[in-house]
Amino acid sequence: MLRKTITLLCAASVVAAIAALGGCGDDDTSSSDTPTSGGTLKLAQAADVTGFDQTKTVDNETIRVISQITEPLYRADESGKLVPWLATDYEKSNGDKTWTFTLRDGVKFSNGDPLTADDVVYTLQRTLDSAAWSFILTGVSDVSAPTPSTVEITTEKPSAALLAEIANFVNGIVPKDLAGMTPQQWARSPIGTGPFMLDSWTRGSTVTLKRNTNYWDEDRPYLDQVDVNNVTDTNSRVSQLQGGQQDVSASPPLSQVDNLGSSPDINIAESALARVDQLYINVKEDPFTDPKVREAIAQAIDRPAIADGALFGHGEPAKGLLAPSVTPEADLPPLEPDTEAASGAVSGLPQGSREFDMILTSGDVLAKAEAQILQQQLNNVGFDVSLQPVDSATLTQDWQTSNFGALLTYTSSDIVDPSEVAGFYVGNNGLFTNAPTEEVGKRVAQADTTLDEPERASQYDEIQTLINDENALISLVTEPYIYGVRSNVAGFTINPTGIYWLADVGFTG
Amino acid sequence: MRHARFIARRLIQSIPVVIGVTLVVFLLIHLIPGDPARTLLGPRATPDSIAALNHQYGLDQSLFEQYRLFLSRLVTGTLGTSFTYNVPTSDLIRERLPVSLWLVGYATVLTCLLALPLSMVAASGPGKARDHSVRIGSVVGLGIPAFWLGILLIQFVAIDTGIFPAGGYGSGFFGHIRSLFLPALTVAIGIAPLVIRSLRAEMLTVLDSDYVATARAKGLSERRVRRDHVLRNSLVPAVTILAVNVGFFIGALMVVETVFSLPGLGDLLIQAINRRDFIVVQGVTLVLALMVIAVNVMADIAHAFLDPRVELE
Repeated sequence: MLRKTITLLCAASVVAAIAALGGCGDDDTSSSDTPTSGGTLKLAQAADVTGFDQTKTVDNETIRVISQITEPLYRADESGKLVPWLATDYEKSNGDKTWTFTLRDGVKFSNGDPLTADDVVYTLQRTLDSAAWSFILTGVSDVSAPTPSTVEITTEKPSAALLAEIANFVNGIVPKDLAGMTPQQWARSPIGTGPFMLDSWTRGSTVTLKRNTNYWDEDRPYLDQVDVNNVTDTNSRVSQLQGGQQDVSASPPLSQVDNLGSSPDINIAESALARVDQLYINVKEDPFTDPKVREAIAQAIDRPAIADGALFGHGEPAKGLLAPSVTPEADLPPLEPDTEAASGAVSGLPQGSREFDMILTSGDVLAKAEAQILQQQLNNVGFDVSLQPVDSATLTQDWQTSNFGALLTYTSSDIVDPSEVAGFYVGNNGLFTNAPTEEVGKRVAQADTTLDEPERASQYDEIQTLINDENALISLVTEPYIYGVRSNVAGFTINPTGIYWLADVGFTG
Repeated sequence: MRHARFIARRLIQSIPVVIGVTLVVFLLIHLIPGDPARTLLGPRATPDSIAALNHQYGLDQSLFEQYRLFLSRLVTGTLGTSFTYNVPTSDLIRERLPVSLWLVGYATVLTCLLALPLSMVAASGPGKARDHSVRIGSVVGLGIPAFWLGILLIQFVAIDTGIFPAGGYGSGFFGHIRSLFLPALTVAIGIAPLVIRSLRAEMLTVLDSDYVATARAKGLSERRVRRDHVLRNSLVPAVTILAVNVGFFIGALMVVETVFSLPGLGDLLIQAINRRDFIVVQGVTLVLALMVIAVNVMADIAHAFLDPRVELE
């Protein structure tokens, strides 16, 4: 008996010792708002980084990490304002078709090489040659370096969006000729002017960024190191944030945001309203060929109810295709339901015209919540809607090949300008709804050469109204990007394109 | 030498099984909707760029041709290049395999540590309170879904006590031991009940056998009778149960790896399926099939070790 007891005690001691040996924990620091220098930030993202060649990158998680390593000439801050970054100023000439950017002095890449205009030309040309991202510089006809510290970009027509396009992550400046690396080497070992540089990458697990000691802003970054961790499960990201294993955690479930934020250890960081969730109706598929059916669908939708029920108050009813963050001057009326008119219209439809499937992404909690509320609202006016969850790759394929009747998904912009999403709408048959786009296309082309901001805002209001009136792309709600942040972390912000900026982040206390 | 010949023979016999598995997976992943080119190029891709990428990766060829290409690469010892990462699939697997092997091994050890003593406790008093307790606990353990149990352990053990991390692989030997304890326990709680059930039943049968009575009659202590005669002779069917369920677990690695954020093969497989990275799906499935075969071979060797009457054929 005594021997058994001793054995058990020894076993327990071994387990405790192993737990202590393998363990380490960060001490919580008391809170003040000023970041202190030093420390390692642990940030949990929803998916793995796939490679550091920005011209081949389309997934958000990789884009955000690359954005800490390379920097563009102008950068979109957390409010969406475009601020001078690697360029300090620009001048326009040649009827506003030639932009001459002056580069900031004293900027070096992380390998110590100075930034020159040739690097900028190389980077922008790489974007123009890229299969995935050449569209972002649509309208650019020439890029040149008249002097080592100035870059000239010439557009075919005056462009209201060029500055926003330049600020996109894909135009983060890289060394000319990739500093002698092959594209494959570059994809594993990028070099940039950003506040951090890549230290190591364990695929599937962690990207470690270290402070760039050659960074041009001597007061930044605060952090010594950032560990960007791949935590695919949403609940795991929340658990790890609560347990202190992560300092920042992406995209907590909206149903848990208020609960998380009420904890003294966690704050919630939100971007401006950046994403718009939409119901896409294919006008070439029965029963949606009938405009009355589409109108009835639009009239049945109570957007505030969706914002409350699915977004838990973290978002607003949408008024059109474009997110408020890319159209801050928009002046559109709210889209009000008219269930009486909808019921009347549906009652006059044959039974076959009332039944349809709504495709949504399976496993997407937000999409499911929105779809269920929509289904209830539509069924209440006489439709018979069935939900058809499919995985995300299938939904993307169905959407982009117009292989759907009704489909629930969303749009967000890669630039803080309406032209990108509007351009997709025009260039892709009404974002695959097959809605007529001729008139919208003319107006978008005109708006994108309108340099007067209030006038351009008014033009985009008209464009959004035209799209709304077609009732093929029915905008529902708009919401921000959301992160959970430990309370001893200061300065964490996200811009309206979903990119966080870690140079201003540090620990407090 | 005998074991080496046995292993070599089993590996050769497993070739048609592995080919069958890869063929089924190949057909399934190619037949579901979803285009890897669209996933890689994003929603802004033009039809021309999608077609160009499909051509680059050989995805515009017939299914027969694509499968033939896969087999020909296999013969030369390669698994192709990942669409997503643009690196050899074998590199991705090599990076992730240790995590999954750790998890499988750790879970197996914990299963044995749970099952052996609990079976002996139950078998030592059939029909008594301790026997019922073990059996009820086993049923509960069997009925809990792994992902739910994992979430509970994360919340109530990792977060509330801080003794173990809420996820991740850790670094260094002791880091892995600490980080993988909860995921391995999650698996063990699901497998141990089946092993306990088999082991308990077999022990009760063996306890009634003549040679056990003889051992007692010779004056051996009860403890020694149970350890040297009862346990060893009861283990053979339990080893089979354990091997089969470890095999099932290997196929379900993705659930535990996802809940606990482990960068193993299961997590890689999920990502590859979502991204329609066909090459990686085929490669990982092949490796998982080989792991299951390896577990079964080890079970056969364990049988031979436990029971000298069993011949390795």
